[in-house]
Amino acid sequence: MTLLTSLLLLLPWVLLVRALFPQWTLRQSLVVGCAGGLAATITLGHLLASFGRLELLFYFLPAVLLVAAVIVLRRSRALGRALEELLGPKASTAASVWFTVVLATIAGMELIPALTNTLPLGWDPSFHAILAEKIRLSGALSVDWTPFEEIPLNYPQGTHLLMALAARLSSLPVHTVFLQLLVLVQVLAAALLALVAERVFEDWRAGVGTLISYGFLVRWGGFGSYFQWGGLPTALGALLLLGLVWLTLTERNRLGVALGAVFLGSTLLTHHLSALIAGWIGALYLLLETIEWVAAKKGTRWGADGQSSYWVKVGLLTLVAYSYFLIPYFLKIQQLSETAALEYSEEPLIRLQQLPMMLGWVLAPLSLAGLVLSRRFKSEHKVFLLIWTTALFFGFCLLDDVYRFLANLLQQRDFTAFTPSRFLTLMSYPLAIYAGYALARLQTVFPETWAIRLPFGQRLSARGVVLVVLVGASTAHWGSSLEHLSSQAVLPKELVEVASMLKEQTPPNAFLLFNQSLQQENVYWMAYLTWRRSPETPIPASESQKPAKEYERLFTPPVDPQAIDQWLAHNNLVGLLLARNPQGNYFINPLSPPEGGP
Amino acid sequence: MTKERMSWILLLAAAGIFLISSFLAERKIVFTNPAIWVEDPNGQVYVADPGR
Repeated sequence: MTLLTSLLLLLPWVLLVRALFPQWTLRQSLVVGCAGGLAATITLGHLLASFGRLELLFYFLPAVLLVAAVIVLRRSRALGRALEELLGPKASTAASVWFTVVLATIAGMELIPALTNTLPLGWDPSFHAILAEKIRLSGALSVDWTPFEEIPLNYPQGTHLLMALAARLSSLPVHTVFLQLLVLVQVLAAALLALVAERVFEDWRAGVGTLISYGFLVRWGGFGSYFQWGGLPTALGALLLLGLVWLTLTERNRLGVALGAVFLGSTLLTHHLSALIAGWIGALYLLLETIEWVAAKKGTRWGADGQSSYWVKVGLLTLVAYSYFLIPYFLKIQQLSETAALEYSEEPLIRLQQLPMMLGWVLAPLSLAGLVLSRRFKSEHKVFLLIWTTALFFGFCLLDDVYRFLANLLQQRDFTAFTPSRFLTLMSYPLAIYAGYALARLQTVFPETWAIRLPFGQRLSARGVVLVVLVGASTAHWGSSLEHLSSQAVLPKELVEVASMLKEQTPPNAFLLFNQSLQQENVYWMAYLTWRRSPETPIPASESQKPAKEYERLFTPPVDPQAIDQWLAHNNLVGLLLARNPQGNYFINPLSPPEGGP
Repeated sequence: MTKERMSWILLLAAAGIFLISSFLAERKIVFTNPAIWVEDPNGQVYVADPGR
């Protein structure tokens, strides 16, 4: 249902993209239109929600639809081409058939876990659900974590806006929307990545190979991994970044710059680290371009490849157009010291032998082969792909190795900055393109003339057989992990019912504590499900860690019951203790902290 | 020097840094945190901390 709702939200934007870029193929218009639609919805929704009027977005969409329809009708050529591509002989080219079949297989397999789980897996979705629900209830952006904690909100709310919008349209709870939105984002990412690969290597086989490698072989940065830890904002940020990459390689005119700024700006509104990484990739590209220009003989022009100047224009336009968000954000920079962003200790060092485990056991060697094979391929697009990959791996090493090394050496503590693993997560996208190129080259080992005769006079080429085998083997490879993603009980059904009862029947100032009998349960979901405060409210590393430190002081055994009582009274809270007996029944009692702590 | 060549150099430099720190971590030189990334039979990657 959410997927259909999202398509309703995206349809006007797809039509607008089709109208503005009639030279694109239908496949390109659909994929980039959907991704651009998400970006535009985030941008527009963010602006409206910052005035507390998110619902006005639903009035904008018919207007966009009307504008797109007028442009399309005025450019009947675009409409004619679209119909011809949909119904004409071009509709059944090998490229479009393989693209559709593999993408449909990916979508089908990703839908299984999304539709069979009630709550998303992982810790992160428990706070995404809180932020999305806050927007759904108020129609406005949140500025803090109330009613849970009185600390300012730093996390960007682009993802939560989309969740709230889809939840309002579909009448589904935001946690269900989360699951299905991840499928939509990941299917679009696979499709967009395939388009980028086709563009880089000018070969549809590289595109289909990329679909296979990204859809089935990627570990971190792929659907299975995002689904396990609930990384929807990272996935969405990466998709928006892919949109910018596609435009860099394809459309560098004024319209392309405008759309690129929407992609980059909405990345800022969605996921800070993805935006930071986009800036890092752009900065490295511009630096290398400048060094090349300085070292070159006189008479050469800076940015002759067009890609550098495109990034400069997009960057400047984004800075201006999104200044309403960026200026207040930079004014809050001093709060960075209250967060764990620069002293992040949740992740240990990633070592050499662990790298294939993170990237994917098949993807790692395959992408390495593609990287080596691509050396002989000459194009500016390929240079961009290489710098994109280099920026991510170099950035990862600077944070995970150099920064951590200095922290260990100077402070005798093991921590890093931001989340280095996200650099590897985002590196899987260009690596999937290299792996796709390796798969494409594998097919060309077989001469085009080798073919098997099928009944009714049809031929199946050896290259086609290779593709069939690759798709089959990759699907089976990925399918084996489906079991561990599907029909997982994040919380016992009875506990979810108790949470619902607590939400209905306890005063708004109730403060929940969980007995040790619930230690094994994912009680961090209780904040969202009960809408009541507790020490288990999931607050990410980007936020002030003051509440966490306060709870640690109060509730780390041996606890001081008097101090807890005083703290509750001071904050006007009513303490409730939730426990479960060995028979599995739940009990809720007014707080009277037992000896040894809750 | 072309962008492509510089990019290859940076990529190899990063690989060098990565190799050296992996070596140091294996020998518990400077990097002494006992926590490591592991993979369970379900293919889930998580942090195991024998030090806690």
